[in-house]
Amino acid sequence: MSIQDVIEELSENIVMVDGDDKHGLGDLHNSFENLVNKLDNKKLIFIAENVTEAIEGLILDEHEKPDEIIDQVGQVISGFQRVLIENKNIDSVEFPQQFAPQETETEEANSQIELPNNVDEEVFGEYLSKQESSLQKLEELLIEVENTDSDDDWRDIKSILHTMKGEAAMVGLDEIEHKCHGAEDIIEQSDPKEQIDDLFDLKDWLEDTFKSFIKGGEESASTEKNKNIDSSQERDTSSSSEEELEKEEEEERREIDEPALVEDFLEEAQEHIETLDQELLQVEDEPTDSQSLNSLFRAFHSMKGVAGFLNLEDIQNLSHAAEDLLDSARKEKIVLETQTIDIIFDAVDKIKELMKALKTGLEEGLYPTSDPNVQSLIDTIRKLNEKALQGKTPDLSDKKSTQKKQKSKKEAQPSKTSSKGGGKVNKPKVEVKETIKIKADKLDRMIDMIGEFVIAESMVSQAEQIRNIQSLKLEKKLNRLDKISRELQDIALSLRMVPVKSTFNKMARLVRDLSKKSGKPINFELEGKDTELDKSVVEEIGDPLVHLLRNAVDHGIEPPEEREKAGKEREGTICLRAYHKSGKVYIEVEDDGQGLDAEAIAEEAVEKGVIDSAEGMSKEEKWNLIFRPGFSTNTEVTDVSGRGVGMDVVRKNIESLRGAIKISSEQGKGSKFTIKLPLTLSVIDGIVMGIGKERFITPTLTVITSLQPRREKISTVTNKGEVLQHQDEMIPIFRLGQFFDIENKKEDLTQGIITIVESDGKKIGLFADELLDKDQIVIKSLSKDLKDVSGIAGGTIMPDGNVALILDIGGLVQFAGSTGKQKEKINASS
Amino acid sequence: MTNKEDNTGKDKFEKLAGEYLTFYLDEEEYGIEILKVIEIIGLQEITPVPKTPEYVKGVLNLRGIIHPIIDLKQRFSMGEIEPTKETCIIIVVIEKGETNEQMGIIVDKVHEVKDIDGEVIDEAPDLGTQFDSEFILGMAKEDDSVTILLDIEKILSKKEVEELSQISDNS
Repeated sequence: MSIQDVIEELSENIVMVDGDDKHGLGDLHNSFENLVNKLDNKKLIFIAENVTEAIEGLILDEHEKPDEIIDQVGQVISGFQRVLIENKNIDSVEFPQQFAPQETETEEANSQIELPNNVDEEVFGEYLSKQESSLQKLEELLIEVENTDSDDDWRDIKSILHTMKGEAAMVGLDEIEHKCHGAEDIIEQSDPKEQIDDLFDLKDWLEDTFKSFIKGGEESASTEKNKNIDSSQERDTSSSSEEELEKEEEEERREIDEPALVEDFLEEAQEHIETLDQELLQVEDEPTDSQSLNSLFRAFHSMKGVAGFLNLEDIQNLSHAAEDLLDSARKEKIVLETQTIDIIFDAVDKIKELMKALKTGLEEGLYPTSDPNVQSLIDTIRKLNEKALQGKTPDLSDKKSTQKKQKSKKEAQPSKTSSKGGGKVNKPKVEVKETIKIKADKLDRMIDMIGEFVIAESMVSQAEQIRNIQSLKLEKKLNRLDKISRELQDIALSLRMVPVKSTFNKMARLVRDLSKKSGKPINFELEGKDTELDKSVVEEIGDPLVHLLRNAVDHGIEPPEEREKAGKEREGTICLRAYHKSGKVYIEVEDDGQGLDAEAIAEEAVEKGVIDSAEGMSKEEKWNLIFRPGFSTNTEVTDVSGRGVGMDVVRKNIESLRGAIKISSEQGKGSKFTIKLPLTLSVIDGIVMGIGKERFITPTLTVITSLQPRREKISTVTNKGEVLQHQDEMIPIFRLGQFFDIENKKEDLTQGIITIVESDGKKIGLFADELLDKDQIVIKSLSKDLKDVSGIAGGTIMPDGNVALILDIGGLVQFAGSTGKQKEKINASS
Repeated sequence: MTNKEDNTGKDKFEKLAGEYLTFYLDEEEYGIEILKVIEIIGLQEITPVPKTPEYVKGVLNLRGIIHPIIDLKQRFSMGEIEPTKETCIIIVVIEKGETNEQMGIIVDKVHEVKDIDGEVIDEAPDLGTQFDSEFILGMAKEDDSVTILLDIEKILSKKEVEELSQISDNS
């Protein structure tokens, strides 16, 4: 069928069709798609694509006035007739404004200000919100530079323009990119001040353009004003060789000049990579999930854009190839097969590698050398794409069925698909969502201040003078203040909380890879992704989870044959879940594998010299042996796991997060590792002890019990060490006052309080004058210079506004257990 | 702006020119760069931190941040500060790698903010090995008074920090 035939067919069909005739619309839709593939003029392709989208919208009942659209489609078709059959000049033919790209008088017909058609609304909204502040800055600088003409300001202006250029390129706004580039060139000149008016014009024009985007209108902002800039650029680069030379120079300079941009890119790309991993897994399950395909496409697209702008060719090209492939997939031209998805995974991994190299390069200030493997990967992707495209001929009935599917899907999940259709046909209402990136230390500062406010509030409302005032009115007001301050405190705590999602999604990818590598099919379940935890905990929990999941795949899940023999399903199941319970967060890794063999572990431990004898140990204690350093049950060291260091590290990591890990397991059925974590790292339960005038805090987690000892329970060893007899155990008594050189109010042990604490399985009794309170304590660091003080883990601010010190129980227990000589040494050095 | 490579003696002191907050330890006048000063507060209750050098008086809560407090006189082995009405704590900011830290120094008396010319700044005299001149930026002579300009960053000098961490390593 030639183009002419298609157009003829279209012009016949359009007369017959109305808004309710889904079948006719479907035919129309297919014809237009057919047309898009045959056209070679960019403008016409653009229009045809828009119309295709519009018809899709009609089929999905997204338009309020279907007849109006059909009318306009008719106009488009007659326009096509004139251009393609009557061979009229394309610029002399008018198309309905809704579908047509904006007219410009320049040769670059494609650089009009139009909403780039492959940019996601959300991304675009973000882009616009960023531009606003850039423009403001630009104007300020321009005004300033008009007076000062200082080089620094010019440089700043240039960098703003440069950034805008890059961002515009990212969302596909070619003209803005072009103009910003022209403006940059102006500044390069010896006397940029001469042309400052042009720059002001550019700024105004940009402002208008952005405004029109926000309004959703597509009225082309006049390009008149900026002719100067365009032409001045041309003046500058009159000969093309010169232009190239300049370009090269610019690239050279970029390498050294803009590490900050590269850093930003790395940060951003990291987010994209996370999305990619996550969505790829989704697509693997459901290759036609349009939402996932779209976000995959988007992630590659944005990465390509920025990478291109930063001259990171490897990443750019690779992203580009992957983007093309996904573009075909999301337009339902091809269906992704497992093999193809694997290749995309490879591409993501390669990008990760490239990013790592870039990171290292960044430290040296140089770009890494190009990776020779990238090209072959790109070729593979391209070939796959082509093959897949050729392999599938447009099949009308198939198309229709997908449309139907789409429709039914839309009915089922209206929110999911509504963002997809029609976006370009209706004037897009770009919602500028405002988000503010805040530096973590600023946030921490605010949280500090809120804490301080709460303390101040309680100090005021508890003050004796105020309590003596007998006034109902005042009391009401104070209650209100109290309520507000409590709410503030809650908000403050929630500010740092983020869902565990990001870490969990990484794990999904890990398990997938491990499953492929080990040849054990695994069904990985994620539960409670939205459970929130302190940001730092979410980041830190990754490492231990990697170890646990590796162990689960490597040691836990049996090979499929064995599983069949044991009467289980071939596919192993590993579940990673997070949930809140009684003020703590629990994270569990559960598998239905072979479980832990307590006896084998005990034997192994004895053999390796981890313990002397396993006699009298409970099952739990035997299981816990795997957390001891230097232990491994797997004799074979595999690529995946099993060097016997993993579990030791897991426990250390979790304990450093003030958490605990527990094992439960049933042989043959599976095992479960439960990690218990505090909600935040900064709040603990603590017991306040008084020694002399000072107060010290012991984390409740470490405390076994507190008691006032009876004389007969205390014995002395060689008149020096004091020991407390407690439930058949001999516990060394540690006089905190002596250690810290503070005068106790009570020297007699039976007058004071002994708090038995435990760390690393060792117990000591801390002797203090009295127990003052039990409270939630906000941990604060004692500034870097004091953080290594022995016996002290940190400080906190007490309700009276003064500081109390938090004891480092681990350190104290260790100290109490060290020999006299060591103690002398420690004391001498302080 | 001075050129980086131009590091001859005079220029070194030229860079030190600027405003300084001056204060007294006994009769000696000292100055710290005004930009390093956050605020001046009166003497308050300080929570002692055991197992620290003598000159570390302890820690203090100021608007939710715990500040270490240093007795500057003890730091310079000039004996302990005797609290008077004029004794106060100068809260200063110290750059430690990428982060800024705040700490307080106790001084006998705060004097004034002085604009010090680069020309009047001289190198600290060599007082032999007994005297640690590491934390002295220079000496400013004006009329017949001398102000000792301090490098506040070095007051808790590296050596001490290492010592502190050694204590905990051994334990």
